[in-house]
Amino acid sequence: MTSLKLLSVTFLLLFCGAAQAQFNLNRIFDAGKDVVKATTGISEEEEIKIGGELAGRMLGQVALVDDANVQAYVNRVGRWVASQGERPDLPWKFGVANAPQINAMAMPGGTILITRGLYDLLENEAQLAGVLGHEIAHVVKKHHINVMQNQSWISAGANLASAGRGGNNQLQKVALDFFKNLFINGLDKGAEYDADATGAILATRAGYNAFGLVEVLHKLNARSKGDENTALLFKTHPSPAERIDNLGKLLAPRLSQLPAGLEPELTGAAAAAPRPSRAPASKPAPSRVSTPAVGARAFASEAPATEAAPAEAPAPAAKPAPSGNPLDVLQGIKGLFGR
Amino acid sequence: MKSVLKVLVLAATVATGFVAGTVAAEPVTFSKDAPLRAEPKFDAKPVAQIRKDTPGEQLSKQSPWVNVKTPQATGWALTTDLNYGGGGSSAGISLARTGTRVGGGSTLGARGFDEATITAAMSDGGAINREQLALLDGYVASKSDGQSFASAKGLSASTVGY
Repeated sequence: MTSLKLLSVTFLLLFCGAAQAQFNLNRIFDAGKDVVKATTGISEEEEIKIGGELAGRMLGQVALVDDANVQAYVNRVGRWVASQGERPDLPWKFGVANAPQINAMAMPGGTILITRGLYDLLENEAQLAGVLGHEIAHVVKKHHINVMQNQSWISAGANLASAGRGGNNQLQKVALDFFKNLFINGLDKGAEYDADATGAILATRAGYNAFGLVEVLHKLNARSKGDENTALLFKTHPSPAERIDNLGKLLAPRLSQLPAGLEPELTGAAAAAPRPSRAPASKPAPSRVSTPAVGARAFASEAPATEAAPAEAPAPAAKPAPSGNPLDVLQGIKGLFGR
Repeated sequence: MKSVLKVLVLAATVATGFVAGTVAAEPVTFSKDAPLRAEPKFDAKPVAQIRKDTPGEQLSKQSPWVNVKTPQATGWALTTDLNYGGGGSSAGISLARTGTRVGGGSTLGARGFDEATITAAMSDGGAINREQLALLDGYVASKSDGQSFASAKGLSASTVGY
């Protein structure tokens, strides 16, 4: 245990009585515990809850694409790839968000959103598997949770201690700021390279061409650096060229051992549609469920941007359903302190 | 036995589209010193050693191999040894719609995944959209759904170390 951590904990215990009352900070920052062990004690259940609430917040700003075929299809591909990893029994959820930007976002606990812009870029299922594999790898390797455990909560504790009052609200704000900064500034390069390597292997294990992600990175690399739709992706990740080079170093020497993977066509066919019983009661699956959607052209064939959603399609919420507590993301985080 | 296997593999790959792709000629550049090979195989005979930054033209593709014509020779290069284009859209990119209206005139999705959206989502005033979360839940595939889907596509799991 470093002296800095000890100092932080001491401050926390001394000055955050109010916060302790609400969040039972002793659960983690117990003076009798080894702090490192205590802060690594985020349970899977807590991780899932945090991720679900982060996803809910993002979906409060950007709705899912209104195409049940594609959503179900992406879930099947994603679930199959995720099943090849070390956390196959997480409640994996995949969604295509209606955003033109080219990006994807993994939430702790197994919720993954990719943008319509990224989906439109893909040419085959191996590329989709490669993209999803990268995001799945972030969850499998607990990259976000590790950052949270290794840095922010110690820092947050120190901040709270320094403030000396209003610990409850401040802790919530610190948590939200933490995730905001993580999603805007990204993980470190090492975590991204790790996700590339792990994701490529997961896709390979699932029977796909190991180079699906490389092909997508080529597409990104060919785009203008000034393209606003890739601005955040380029800010939060190493350059596509570096990532391709890194994957080449991993995969090229192993070509003789890698199974010959497949590159199935992208299909959001009816077979991939969700079973009726699965559709949420309050939000039946769109009627377009029976319309075969064909891969990358699926979205392009929909109504122009300026047109209203078809009347027969159930409209996603006109505005985000109000949350009882706008800081609900902390519901999950509260669990970290609540036992 | 081997020939039967080969036929099966060929049938599977043709059925799933994993064949040597004929693609539009596209300019490429070698990102490093790398060999050009006579065939799209890791152990195929090198026909030339190409220097970094050498320009070429992609003639066809059989991922991860790319048939490239260079001033020196024509042969197969590994995709990770190449860079494509520069500054433009590559093949397969469709025009993404922007500002899609969903939900009775709402402009949800108009901004998309950008810093402003993330900041708003994680701000004090951000809200969880529980209807969208319910939709997300409705699309979830179980582990067995994934397995059945993969089997139908001819995908089989294999053991590959990290």
